[in-house]
Amino acid sequence: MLTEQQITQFHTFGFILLKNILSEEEIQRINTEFDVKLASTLIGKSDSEKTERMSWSSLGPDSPFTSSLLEDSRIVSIVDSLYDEDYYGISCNASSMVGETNWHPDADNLNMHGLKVLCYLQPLNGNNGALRVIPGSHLNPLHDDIKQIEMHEPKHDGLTHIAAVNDDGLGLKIEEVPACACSINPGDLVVFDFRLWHASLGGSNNRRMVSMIFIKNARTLEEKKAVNQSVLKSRRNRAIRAKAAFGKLGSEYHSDWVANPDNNPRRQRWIDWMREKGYFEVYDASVIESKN
Amino acid sequence: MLTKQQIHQFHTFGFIVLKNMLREDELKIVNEEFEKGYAKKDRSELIAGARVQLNWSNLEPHSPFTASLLEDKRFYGIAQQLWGEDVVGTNSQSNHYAGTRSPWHPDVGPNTHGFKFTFYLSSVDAESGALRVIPGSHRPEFSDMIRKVRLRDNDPGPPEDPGLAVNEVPFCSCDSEPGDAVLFNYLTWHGSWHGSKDRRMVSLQYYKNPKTQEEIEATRDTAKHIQEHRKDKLTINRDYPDFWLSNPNNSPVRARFIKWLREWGYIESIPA
Repeated sequence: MLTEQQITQFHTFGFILLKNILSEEEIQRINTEFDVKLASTLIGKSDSEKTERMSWSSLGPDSPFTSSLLEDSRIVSIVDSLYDEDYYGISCNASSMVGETNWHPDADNLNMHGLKVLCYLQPLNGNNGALRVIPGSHLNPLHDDIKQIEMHEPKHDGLTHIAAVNDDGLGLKIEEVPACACSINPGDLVVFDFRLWHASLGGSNNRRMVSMIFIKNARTLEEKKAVNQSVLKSRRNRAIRAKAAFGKLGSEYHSDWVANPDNNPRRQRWIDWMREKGYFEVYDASVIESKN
Repeated sequence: MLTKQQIHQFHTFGFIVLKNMLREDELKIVNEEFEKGYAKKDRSELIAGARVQLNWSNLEPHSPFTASLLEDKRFYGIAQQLWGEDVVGTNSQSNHYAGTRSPWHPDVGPNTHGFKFTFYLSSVDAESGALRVIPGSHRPEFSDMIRKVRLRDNDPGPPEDPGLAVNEVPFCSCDSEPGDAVLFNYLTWHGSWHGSKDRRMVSLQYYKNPKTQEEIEATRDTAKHIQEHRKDKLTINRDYPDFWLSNPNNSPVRARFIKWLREWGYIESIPA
């Protein structure tokens, strides 16, 4: 559980860094599962030097320990503290990151209440790929004002393009945007609000990250609309990531996980909600092809 | 002068760092004048606590060049860009720090609008006394939320949860080299961490001419607060030196500043 002060810090700054949550042994288990899955991706199977972000769902039998983190008491107790136990755990992904990430929030609709719990598997600082965040940018007026800041974005991944872009030399480079670097060691967690502006700089290839996503139960009409929009965006993004990693589309949710063999009531509640929202529907491939 | 984007950055984040605003020859003079002020400064007026700070006015006869920067178009012009043609230069001060940190704070309360240019006279970074700021914290909504975060130096909690130390608060470091200027809104939360026992900083201070009723009341309250503490030698509020008030070169810009300071009660009385 978070302390009252940690909850205040999260809601004030839009993120919080928690030290030494996972043990060395647990990080090793995640790495072992990561190695196996990475080897099955297009990059893992390729002899070329090509680098590209590889990302996959960990909610399946290939990654039992990583998968279990979404329901791990240490993780859900954090979310319990922040969202009063009224939320849904919808995703646990592993990513082999490459290069830098442009500034963006994960949600641009301020009625969208959700958070990510990030676990990095290597030590990182502001200059080698740690998460950079703009504290307080999950709320207005700062959130919207940042959209007017012209930024230099030579590379777009097609998923995160929200900032004003000026690539003629006048836009701010990633490192020129005022920010706080979340320096981190394996075992630490970064918890951040979807709406927070974030980026990364100078990271090496194959930076390893596990991210867990939790969505707060929507109460108002505006919040419900925001969640519905996020479902579509989530399915599209996951489909694009799956195609990049494996060359084909596939469900993010393995049938074994959805079967909930241990009859975990928390998971069942999440599954029922996700089914209602359409998370389990396969994204239309033709739409993705047309985007490419 | 600032570009449109730099102005937007300042108003969005509450600060901006400008590189190479003072030339080397100018820096040399500023350093010499700082030395003179430091030598004259009464050590009994040390502001103790975490900062271990000595502070004095640059509007004295020993620092004519530093005083002139307040009216220099490079700085005054930027102040006009940010706060309007009728912006007012209200002070220039030198600061010597020998402490381990400056606790987090904004410089003024709500509705007082203005900013400082700060020039650090040595290279500083996040771990050696550079200004640390919370971007966007000049906005009242964010500032009010920060006040609820327990800060160890400001409002310590019980031993088991004393609050955040200065270096535990999320920040952006305004790393700077001699000649660079850090501009920050008075309302922006700032602090500093570590650094040498001989950290030197010179500031130029500007206020927006108040327009709204709230701004007018805040400006009067600030003037009242300064007057009440004028005789307290352990604050940074100083009398305006007669030398500066006499405006020997008949600078129209300074004359306007002085007129405004008198009208709003920042100057206690007309010097003899």
